[in-house]
Amino acid sequence: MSRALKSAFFRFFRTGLWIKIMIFSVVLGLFVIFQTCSSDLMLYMFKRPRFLSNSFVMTCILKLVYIMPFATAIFSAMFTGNDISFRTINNKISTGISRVYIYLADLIVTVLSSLFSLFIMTGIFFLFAKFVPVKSDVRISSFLLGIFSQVLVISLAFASLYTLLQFFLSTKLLALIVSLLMIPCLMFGTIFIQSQLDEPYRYSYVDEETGEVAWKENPDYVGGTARKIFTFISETSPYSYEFIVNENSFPQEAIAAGTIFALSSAAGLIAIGKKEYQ
Amino acid sequence: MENVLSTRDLCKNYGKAHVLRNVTLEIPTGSIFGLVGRNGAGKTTLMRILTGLAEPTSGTYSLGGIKSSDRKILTVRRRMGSIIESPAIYKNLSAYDNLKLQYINLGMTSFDTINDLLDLVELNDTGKKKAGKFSLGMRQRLGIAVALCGNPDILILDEPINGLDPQGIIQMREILLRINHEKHTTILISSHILEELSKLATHYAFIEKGEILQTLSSSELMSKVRKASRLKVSSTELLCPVFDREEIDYKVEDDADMDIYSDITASRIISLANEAGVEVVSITENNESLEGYFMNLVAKKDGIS
Repeated sequence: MSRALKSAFFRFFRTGLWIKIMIFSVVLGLFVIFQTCSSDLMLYMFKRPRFLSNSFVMTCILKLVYIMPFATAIFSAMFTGNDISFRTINNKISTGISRVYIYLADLIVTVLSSLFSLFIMTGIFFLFAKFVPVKSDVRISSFLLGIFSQVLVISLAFASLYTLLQFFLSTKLLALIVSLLMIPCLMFGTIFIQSQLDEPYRYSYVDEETGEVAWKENPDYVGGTARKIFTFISETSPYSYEFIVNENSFPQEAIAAGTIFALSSAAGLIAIGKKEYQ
Repeated sequence: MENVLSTRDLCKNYGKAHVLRNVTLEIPTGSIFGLVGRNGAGKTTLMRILTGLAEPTSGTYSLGGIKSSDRKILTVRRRMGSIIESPAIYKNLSAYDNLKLQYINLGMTSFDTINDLLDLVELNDTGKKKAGKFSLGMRQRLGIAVALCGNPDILILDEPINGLDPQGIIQMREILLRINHEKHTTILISSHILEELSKLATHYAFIEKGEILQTLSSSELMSKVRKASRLKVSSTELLCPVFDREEIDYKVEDDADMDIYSDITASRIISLANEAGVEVVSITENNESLEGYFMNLVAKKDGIS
């Protein structure tokens, strides 16, 4: 394992990937701050001094739920994807490094890259909230930590999924495209599911003949097993409004993300032994 | 001669396609073993199996006496370097860093010999230039250097001169010969350019449709493909003493056929035959190249006379 890890970290540092991630995260973090400030009139600090509170940091961190999967997909392509597309994974296999260790080493570095980026961006949010020339009142509360942990687990799940895709799809570009497409699919899928769940069981109408209010069953209402599945997805997807408004859904979503991380990692570790490289 | 690498009844199927069929090979230590075959004959698949990139459907192979089923094979692989199809190098790293990374892959902690390797493949002046900016020849040489990290006992090279210009081919040949002579590294090499291969190889295996058609040493092959005049006579036995006296290089095939390798005219052959009291039935030129020999083998397998 040590050979695979040393090799992965040597590449991480020597290719300058860590610097690229750092610059990328700083720029992205500042963009999120700018976007949050300009979109929230209550926090629009340049008009008059405002009060930056936990809600500002929370809003910024919540936006990372959308940003981190995209960032992680790019990091994964730049690290694992290069190993596959340059076919340098062959060098490791032919020097006798176990395939499982090769996979684990790449997964660890991708996960750390994602976390590195997450910590940099979160740090920038806190620093900004603490030191900007407006009255600030930022405290690290359990609620804030909860949201941060949630984003962290989601980042881990995506890092694991993307590593799996990079190892098993034929090219780095294809894996990157599939990785990036997964995010809008998940977003729109969640929106669609939630709209389906919001359909009322029945609706009222005025009967033209009698002039009285009558009730009619909604044919679009999702019931039975489908409703249970839709509810489960809605409660566990990071792109549902449950995630933003319902504090109680945190553990459930974290467990779902953790399960995805564990399952995709296990699938990768099992399948890597059978994979044939060109 | 001891065998550093051997295969026994190796088979590889992809669905219903039989890519390798009962491949049995023995590669002697210190040899340069040329694997000759057409596209799709199974050369690359065989090499991918030997380097651990693919698993055989059935059959076994052994590296340095360790069987493929033995877990120790992972340790033995450290004594092997390879290039399969094209050099596997990080294009976003310099030549030095590519080699350092391979040293780390091998578990080596001292990097003192990296510059020697760069000297060997004449890439010592590339500095921090990224491998992505190298010419094809430079990348091939870097690939060789990566394969040579850790001073391997065996080198597996799949088409290492593909795409190289004439100067690059000569450079590559010189490097491989130097490695083989100075470090006694066994080299398993495949190439489409058979004339080039014939300048390197000490042993050959001909492969077609996943089957090994023939294995033979370079001297055996040369005797088969060297320029000769095929002589059909009434008696080779009577002619031999005369040819021996005249120091003519020849080989008797049977009572009536013999090959003459010396540069000698047809009239001189007839005059010597008359002297021996032998009737000359026919003299034909036999100038078979390595390609010709291979194509004949393939034609025989396909049942074309």
